Amino acid sequence: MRTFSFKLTASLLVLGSAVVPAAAEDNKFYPGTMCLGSASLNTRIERPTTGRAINAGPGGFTFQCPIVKDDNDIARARVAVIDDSPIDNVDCALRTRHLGGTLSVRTAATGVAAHGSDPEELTFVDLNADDEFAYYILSCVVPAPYVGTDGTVFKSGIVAYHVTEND
Amino acid sequence: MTMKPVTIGIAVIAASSLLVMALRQMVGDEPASAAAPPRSAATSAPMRYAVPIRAGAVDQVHAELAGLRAEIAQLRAGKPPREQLSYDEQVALSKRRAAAKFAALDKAFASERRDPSWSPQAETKLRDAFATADVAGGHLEELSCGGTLCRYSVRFDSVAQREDASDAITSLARWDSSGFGGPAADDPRRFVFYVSRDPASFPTVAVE
Repeated sequence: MRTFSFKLTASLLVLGSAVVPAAAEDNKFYPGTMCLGSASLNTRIERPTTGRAINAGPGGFTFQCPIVKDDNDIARARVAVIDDSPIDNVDCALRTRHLGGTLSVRTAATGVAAHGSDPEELTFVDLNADDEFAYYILSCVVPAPYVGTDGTVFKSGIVAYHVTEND
Repeated sequence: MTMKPVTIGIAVIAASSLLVMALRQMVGDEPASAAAPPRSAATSAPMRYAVPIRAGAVDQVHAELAGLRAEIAQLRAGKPPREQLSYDEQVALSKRRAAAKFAALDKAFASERRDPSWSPQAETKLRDAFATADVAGGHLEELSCGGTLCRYSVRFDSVAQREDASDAITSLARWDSSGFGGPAADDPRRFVFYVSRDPASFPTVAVE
């Protein structure tokens, strides 16, 4: 009788979970190492095993980070960056490129005061992408490595990013 | 809170299959079990016990499944499948939406009043950002900020240059903002862009 009860309970649990509506959001987390550099051949990107993408110099450049578009719009997004430059910001832009060449854009910046090796979070509000062929782009301008007076090199980069789509 | 109908369908079919299998095993009406040889003690497989089951339980499960299927049909009715358009139709739809957004933004911008504490500084920041962006073939034609919204247009020597620079010229605002822009309807070499004072102050534009 106990076997019967167990099987019936398990079956009903499976059935029950099938009819509970799924969350109306689709979350995806990406490591910064997925970001690609879009600059000159002189650009050097470090990809340590921590999963980050670091600008190793010599200049500042733009990282392009891919985002999978499963649905029609982004509810919110955030990107964790390291801005270790005391003179420049990390500037990020989240875009939807629509058919016909129009772009919907959200921008966020660290501010110079962010200087430090701890990741800082930049956040973006909702972004529309209702065209079937529209796609998302996250790009971040990451400053050049900064060399301190004692020769220490402070490098900036992308740690990770998280995109929530409306299901 | 909705769930994709296809996902619901797959989940319900899988769950109902499991349930029916479990019930069949319990009541002993599994077709294969009748022909299967008796287990020997040497196999040391767990013994299967015949258990009593309330009369009508299977019918009740079938009734519940029918109810669930009806619920799925109801969900499907509430959310019509996405309209399948050809690529050309999608392009045309996208252009109509863009035209509607531009019209709404033009209207919102025209109704704005300058804010002396923000508008001049924002214009300077955007102008400086354009100068440092070194946009190949791009000429800043117009730049103006109201109380919460700025509008600027950049004219390029070619459409290809406009395409190459679309990233740079939509990133001129080095503050948290929302923006929208694209090629001008009357001149594809000109890119018009609207950017807001902060993400929340961007006008809400309802499109089809």
